[in-house]
Amino acid sequence: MRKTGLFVAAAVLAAVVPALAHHAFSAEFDQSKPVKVSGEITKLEWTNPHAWIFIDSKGADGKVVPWRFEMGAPNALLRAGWSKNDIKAGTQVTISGFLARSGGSVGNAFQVRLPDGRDLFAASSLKDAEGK
Amino acid sequence: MRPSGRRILVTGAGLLVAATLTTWAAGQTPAPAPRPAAAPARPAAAGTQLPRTADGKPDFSGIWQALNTAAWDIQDHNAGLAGYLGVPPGKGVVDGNAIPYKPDALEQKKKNFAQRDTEDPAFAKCLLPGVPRATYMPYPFEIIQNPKMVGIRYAFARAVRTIDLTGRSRDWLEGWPDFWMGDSRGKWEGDTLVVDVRKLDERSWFDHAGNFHSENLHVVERYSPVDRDHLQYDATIEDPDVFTRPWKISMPLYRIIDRNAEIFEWDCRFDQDSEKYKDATPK
Amino acid sequence: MAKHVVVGAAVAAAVSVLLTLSLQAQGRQGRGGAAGTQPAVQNVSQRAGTIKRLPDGTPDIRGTWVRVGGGMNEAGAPDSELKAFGVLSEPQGFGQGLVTAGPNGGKIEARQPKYLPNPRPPQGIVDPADRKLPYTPEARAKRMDYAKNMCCPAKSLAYLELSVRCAPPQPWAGGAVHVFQRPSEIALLFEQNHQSRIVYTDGRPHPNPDMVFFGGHSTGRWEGNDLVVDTANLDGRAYYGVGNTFAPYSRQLHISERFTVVSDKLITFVMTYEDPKTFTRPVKVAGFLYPNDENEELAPEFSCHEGSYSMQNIFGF
Repeated sequence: MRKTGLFVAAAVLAAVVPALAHHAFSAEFDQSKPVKVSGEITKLEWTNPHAWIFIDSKGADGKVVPWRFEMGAPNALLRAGWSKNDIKAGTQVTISGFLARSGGSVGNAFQVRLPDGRDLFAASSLKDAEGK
Repeated sequence: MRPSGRRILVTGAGLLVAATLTTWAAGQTPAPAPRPAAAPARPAAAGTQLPRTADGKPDFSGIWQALNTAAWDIQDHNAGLAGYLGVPPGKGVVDGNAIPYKPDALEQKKKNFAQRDTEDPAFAKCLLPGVPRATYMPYPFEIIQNPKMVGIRYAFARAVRTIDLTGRSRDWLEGWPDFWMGDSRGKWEGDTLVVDVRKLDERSWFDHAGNFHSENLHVVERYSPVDRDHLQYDATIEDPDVFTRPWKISMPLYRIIDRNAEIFEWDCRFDQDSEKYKDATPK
Repeated sequence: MAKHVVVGAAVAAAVSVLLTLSLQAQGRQGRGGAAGTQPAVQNVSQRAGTIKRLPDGTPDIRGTWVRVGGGMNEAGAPDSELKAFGVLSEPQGFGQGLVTAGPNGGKIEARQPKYLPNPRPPQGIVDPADRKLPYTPEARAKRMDYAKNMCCPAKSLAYLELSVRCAPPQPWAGGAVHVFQRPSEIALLFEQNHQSRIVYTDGRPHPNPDMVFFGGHSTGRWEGNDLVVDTANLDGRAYYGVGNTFAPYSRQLHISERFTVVSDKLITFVMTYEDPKTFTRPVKVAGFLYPNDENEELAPEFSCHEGSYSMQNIFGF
């Protein structure tokens, strides 16, 4: 159950947009293709409409595969207490997300976890409901 | 009939006609209407009385436009080929016509110039034009002035700026992405609005010739009234990563006096994408 | 996560969901239900005690505001006739932009909105009271067509939802909104995708109806403490999205807004959507505005086209 504090935080950010306002997760990413990638953060693209985390992941064959994962909008992340300086290059993380439809090592992240198990970033696990 | 009675009768008849016409007009479904004949613009010699706000400051509210070719090249330039019509020849707007590039920055400018038809973020990609280029894009913009904040809506790319006049701190900007249209703080020096612009995204250009800047660009604009329908616009450019010293551009801004002039919504990037992807299949 | 939708959109859904969960936990209907059972917004303009005024007596609404409500919280969406939409609900764990972890694994700092009113005025569809939108048969057919073809992937560009294309939102955009006021106009400069709209109060007419825009063209006038706005010249391209209420508006769409200045800290509004090709009768949606905390950032730039990879991700080029 969400804490009241978080509820209030949500209300803070609550400029509800009419009807519309829905993202296009399904247009761009594939919910039937979950992915989990571990590696070192190489870069953060801190720009609207989405921030992007770049990580280098080492495959079983030892080859380094660069991945990029989409995060929320800085305008939202910042109001939730984030700054770009909190996501540092060199940090080891495990990113859980969903693959992009267009293929490649591109995904949408819903969880960025540190090696000690703490979440560096976690999207809401709530499904969209009525009343946008 | 007595004169006053006749006057009343004529007036009444006029009102009846007007009412009838109005009712008739309201009842019409809006068919594709021919463009109404342009109402006469305000006479040019409209007096030198500057509009002022309640607190005595000049009121710059209204629609303005620069009438030069700086958007293509802020330095003196010949005609050239680009887009549909090409680049018109024109005098530049740079004081001394020299842009004091550092040597490697000048190489980058030349690279930009060579790729300008595909890489110009404004003309090629319809992205936000940045500051000061937004001021001299060849399209009008609207200044909406209130005591604590000035808003500017540009026709090009629906660009928008706000200029904060309260003197509030910029501390909160720390950690935020850079803004394509910058963070602007204004103050009055007599009748001149001085606007200090920082936190500009490095990806905008100064013009179609590839003149560019870094994320450390600092622009100080000055908007000064010349007369009711003209402003003088000066901007000092400072960017120690790219230039060896500050430099300046200057130009007049002309008030658009067309009746009921408006800045309409124009999202040319959306239109470009509509064309680019019209036959494409999503993966 | 949200796409091309800043604070407003991103959190809109999150907020609604959280509200729903919160209220459900208390054994009540969600936010939408509350709005649905409320009567039409009452005219509270007589509560004029704390209204700031301009020298000419009109209410002074200049400043930066945050909007809540105004959304089409259609009952039962996605409903049975849009089963295709139901399949396309968001995956578990997919975020709406709301983070539940903070930097370095810590908890996020919740900010208290200084001027959020309590209790909250009505939000969402208030007419029809059951929030079942009165679609015309033509509109229903169009909805089904889009349900079949918009996901996933979308059949073509024409079926790709506009939110992912950085289309300028209409008639309201998310995030905060700067309100400027002059005798001849009231300017709304929105945060989300730097959309803006002018409400002309100088008596000018709408332009030629063949001129259409995402945000349309607005004219307005004051009636006491109410700002009455009429918006035409809308191009009818609704900001539809997967799993969302999708009202396939036409070019006949006309939106009226009545903003009631209750105090210098609260403006309530009712929007009336009229589109004879889409709805068999007008639909009313309510919401309110409260002032942004003056000590916080005021509507920072939210550019969209400039940083979006969506088109490449969707089309591959």
